[in-house]
Amino acid sequence: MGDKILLIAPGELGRELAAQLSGWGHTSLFAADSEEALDLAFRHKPAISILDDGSDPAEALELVRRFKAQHPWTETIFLAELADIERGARALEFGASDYLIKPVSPHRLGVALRRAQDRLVVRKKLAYLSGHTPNGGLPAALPPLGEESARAARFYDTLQQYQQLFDEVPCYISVLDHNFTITATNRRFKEEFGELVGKTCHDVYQGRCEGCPDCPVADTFVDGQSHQYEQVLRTPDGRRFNVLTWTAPLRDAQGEINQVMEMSTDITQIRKLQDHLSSLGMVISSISHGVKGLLTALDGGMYKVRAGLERGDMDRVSKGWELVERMTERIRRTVLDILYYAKERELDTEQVEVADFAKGVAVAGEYAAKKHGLDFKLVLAPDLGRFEVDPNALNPAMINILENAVDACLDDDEDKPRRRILFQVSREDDVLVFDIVDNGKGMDHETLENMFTLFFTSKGSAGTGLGLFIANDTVQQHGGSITVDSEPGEGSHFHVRIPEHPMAMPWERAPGPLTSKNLPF
Amino acid sequence: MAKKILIIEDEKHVAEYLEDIFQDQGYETLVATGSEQGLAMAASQKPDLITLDLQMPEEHGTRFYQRFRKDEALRGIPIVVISGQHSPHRAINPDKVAAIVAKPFEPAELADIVQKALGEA
Repeated sequence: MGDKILLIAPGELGRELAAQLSGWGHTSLFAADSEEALDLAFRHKPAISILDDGSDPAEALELVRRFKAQHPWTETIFLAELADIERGARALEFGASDYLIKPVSPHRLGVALRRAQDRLVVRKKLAYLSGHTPNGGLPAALPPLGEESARAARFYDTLQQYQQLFDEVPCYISVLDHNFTITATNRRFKEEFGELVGKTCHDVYQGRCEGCPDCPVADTFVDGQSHQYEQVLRTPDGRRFNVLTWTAPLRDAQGEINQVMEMSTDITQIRKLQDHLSSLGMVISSISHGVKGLLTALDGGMYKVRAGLERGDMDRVSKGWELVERMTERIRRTVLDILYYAKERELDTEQVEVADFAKGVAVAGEYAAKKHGLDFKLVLAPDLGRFEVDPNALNPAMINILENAVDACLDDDEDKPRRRILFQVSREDDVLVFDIVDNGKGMDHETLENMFTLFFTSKGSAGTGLGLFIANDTVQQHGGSITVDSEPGEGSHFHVRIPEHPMAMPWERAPGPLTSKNLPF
Repeated sequence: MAKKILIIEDEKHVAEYLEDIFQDQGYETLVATGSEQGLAMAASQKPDLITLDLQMPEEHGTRFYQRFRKDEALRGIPIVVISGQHSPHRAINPDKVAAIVAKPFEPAELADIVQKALGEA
């Protein structure tokens, strides 16, 4: 495709050049003097201008200067006499991109034009990349590629490829200068943390106004080595990421480290898993003593049964069997607690009839109570309605509290005519209230304080400290609360409040007037 | 006269189990559910052997053990440590006690150990 070429060359020379250019498919524009040249250039935006030094070489040089000032995008080729070759060099100083010695052979003209076209391609591409185009818009269609323009295109492609790599690497990348100011970030980084270029890293990630101690970026500036560390990053909306960060030095052309790159990989999931595993390990080792106690007590029961059978002592057999049953039950519960604890769960709520739910819990509680000769009573208020809970989580939690009441009665050494458990369910506006009252051994102050603490148990080696912890955790997950009123030797009153809908709970109300001292039966 | 064994153990089912085992062997048994009570009973009842649970609430069994060892009058009584801990050896010098038994234990084995500690084997 031809270019528009402005000729500022008088007479014969101009006509010869025009003929030559039109033979190559270019369009020529003629200007007789400086003013016309500037005017034509303004109106037609020629790609190239060819300027003869003509009759007034000084004026010609001045035109080069003015022309380039007004039309920097036009490649300018200066034509000079051999004797005035010095002037050709001056023309380059004034902004011409090339000069030719007259007379101009078609071959040399062709070479000069090709070079001018190459330069145009490179300049347009660079302008495109840097966002500056001659007319403020996209560059015009690009001419066929010469060697230099092919190189420019390769440069452009490479640049684009690296930008893409930078953006798409599954890491958060930021580049920091000597002042720990962020100078560049990749797309992933921007997505999570926003546009932070210009801010300091310690301010952004750590909320610190000064640099952090043992800063690996500072180390990299000093020793030029890559450093690795783990940190927690905060996003502007308050989420936290555990990341593993590597630093790498970036050097300038002289080989000096002028920036450091931080590449952070999200390891939040791994850390969560690790935390979970280690807390599970902690659970197992903390309850191992309790489990061993349970097994030893179970052995004690079996020993009684065996010894009783050997000696024909049925009283001993039945005492032993009762112990075996109780210990087996506790071991079963402990194992279920561990299995429950081992699984991180979210509530899977559904609408449940409160009365049905309470009856389901009561069946299990009554079974445990009656087995050991305890009285059990269920009292349901009318019109309990429905509530939104995860029955698979809440049901075992409530049963756990009931079984705890059973244990409290069985572990009570005092002589009481009747050991009894009351399970009462009522509604206060949009809150369901479950009262579990026993007249068992009750709790001292320390037990009351710590009863919901993980691994706290008052059952000696027969408890693991998991059951009530999980029950409390589950009730709280439902937006509810458990409060307890208890007297040693008198019994305990568990007051469980669960909102009709999760998370709509007025917290921590004192237990109601119902206590073990005024059991209604 | 039957030899006397003092069982210091806070968990009543385990204490009862130990009583069963020892009584079936023909020993007389005493139970203390805490360390203070244990010290007092050891001093007043002069048992021939003591079994000690290392992980009791009111005072850690290990500390109780140290106190017990300092008491001249009680120093001669063999102690069998019965523990649910992973490695009670770290807390107790095994040379200073008659035996260390881990929970859960074999009743016959425990009876054997006690018999040896009492110098009856």
